[in-house]
Amino acid sequence: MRAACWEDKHKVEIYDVPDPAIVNPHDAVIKVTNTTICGSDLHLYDGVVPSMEKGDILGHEPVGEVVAVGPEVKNHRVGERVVVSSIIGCGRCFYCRNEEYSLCDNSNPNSWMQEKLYTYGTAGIFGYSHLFGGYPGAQAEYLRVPYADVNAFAIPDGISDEQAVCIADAFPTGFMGADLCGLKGGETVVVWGAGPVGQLAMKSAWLLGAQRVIAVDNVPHRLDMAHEVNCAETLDFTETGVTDALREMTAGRGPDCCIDACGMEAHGTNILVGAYDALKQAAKLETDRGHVVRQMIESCRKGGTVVIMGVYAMFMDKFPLGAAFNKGLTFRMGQMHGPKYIPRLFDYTLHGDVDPSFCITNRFLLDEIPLAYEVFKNKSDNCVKVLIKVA
Amino acid sequence: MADRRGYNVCSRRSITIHRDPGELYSAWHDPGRLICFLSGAKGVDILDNRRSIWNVDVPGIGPECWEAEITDDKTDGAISWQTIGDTGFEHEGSVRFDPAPNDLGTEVKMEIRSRFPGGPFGNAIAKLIGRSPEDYISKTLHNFKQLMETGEVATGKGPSGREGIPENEETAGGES
Repeated sequence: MRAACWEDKHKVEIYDVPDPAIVNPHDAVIKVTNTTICGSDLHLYDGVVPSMEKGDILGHEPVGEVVAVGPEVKNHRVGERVVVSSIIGCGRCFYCRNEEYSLCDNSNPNSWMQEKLYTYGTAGIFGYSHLFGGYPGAQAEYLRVPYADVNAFAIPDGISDEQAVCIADAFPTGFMGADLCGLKGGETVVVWGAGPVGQLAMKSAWLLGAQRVIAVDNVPHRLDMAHEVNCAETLDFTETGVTDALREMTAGRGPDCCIDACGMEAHGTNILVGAYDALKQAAKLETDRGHVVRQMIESCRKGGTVVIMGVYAMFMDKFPLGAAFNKGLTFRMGQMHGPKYIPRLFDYTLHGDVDPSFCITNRFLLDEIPLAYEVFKNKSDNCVKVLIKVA
Repeated sequence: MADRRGYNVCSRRSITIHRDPGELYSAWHDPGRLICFLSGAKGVDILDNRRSIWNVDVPGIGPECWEAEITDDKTDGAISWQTIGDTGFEHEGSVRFDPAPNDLGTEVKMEIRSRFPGGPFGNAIAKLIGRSPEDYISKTLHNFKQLMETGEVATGKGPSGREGIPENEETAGGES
């Protein structure tokens, strides 16, 4: 089959590789029809996530058709159209039973490696480095899906492939960001990053009862989408001091909830701090640029909630713990719990509350993926999210 | 410091498994399942109810073959063993099964005392690269938990674009 393989920093190539097969009894294999490039794939593309190996197949947002099932798969049959969660849960461990699938005890065969970094191992993720299991990814013609009854979902009639592909990872990540805010109704929610996850976090904040939604970014077409599609007020961080602006927009109260939809490669405007972070990241002394997290802590109201959905890998410096402590902030974060949210997001989509495919702006074929990575990384051609048409 | 048997490294890890102690104890007496979850195990021959022959790729040491003898066996509670005769991985080990609180299943505690190349210093270096007896125990316990909770040992095996490696059998130090 053809597959997009990570070769090195900023180098992804299409290779002919062997087809995947059923390995374990709970596996299924799907013929991928549609996939995407996620913002977190750019962290791999940029070489800031450890434990990538030359030849690893990338991608974790698959929609496809089941072509084989293992003997223990009960809920799926050959020919079924499915979307697969990016995060792999086993469905049986303590965490999966608590619907905290991204903390799964069993799905990551390399959790013993992760323990050296995080003390406890977390779930496997498709195409997301060997620390997260070394699973081949979804930017390929076929994909092996472990624990298929837990991680693959039959797509209801009425939901298109383009809508479903956003429900593999981007929509549940954005939705979990809003969910972790614990909204009771009437809150002001600020979302840093107006990429696909940020856009879907804005949409989700409205769904869950926010009274105001504010988007922070510096890319004009992404801020335009936030405003026009998601009815968000917008702040361009290159034009205004974000913390001061948010304080004034809320008449001195500060926003109730702040969501980071950027992650460890966020850009800022403070040249000295930005250079400090970039230099340390390049020298591997700090893997995670902390600009957005610092700004959220400064900006959030006393007693407010800071939610991190953008991906961080290892360490960041200059964490303003004093402000966080004395303001009594609540921190919530983590990789999204896909199987918990996917059925609910099907419902929102079927009922017309959200069409998550609104964030797809650019379409490529699998063979064009090296170009797609460049377009997505550079946000050129008004790109917000790319769709990769595989079959 | 080496003890009276010359063992210079004592390694232990524990894990909680959502299964009853008796079920887990039985799995340790089932050669078919042992071969699935013991890290690096290539083969096991049961000679009688106390003695067995093992072929294992031991991290930090390499492929080894040894005869093991069960030295203590408490039904549903604990199993202890030791190697007999010459082997590159001379050791004694034990695994205990204790009920966990709050219906969480069973606390499984595994310990290995071994003669490891370089003693504590060699062990410290081996730990850094994931090749120590502690890593061996950790992988074994994770595999055991996966098998007993889900019915299979998780694996990332599958295709990759690595030239000359059609199956992704070697991952970044990982046992996928």
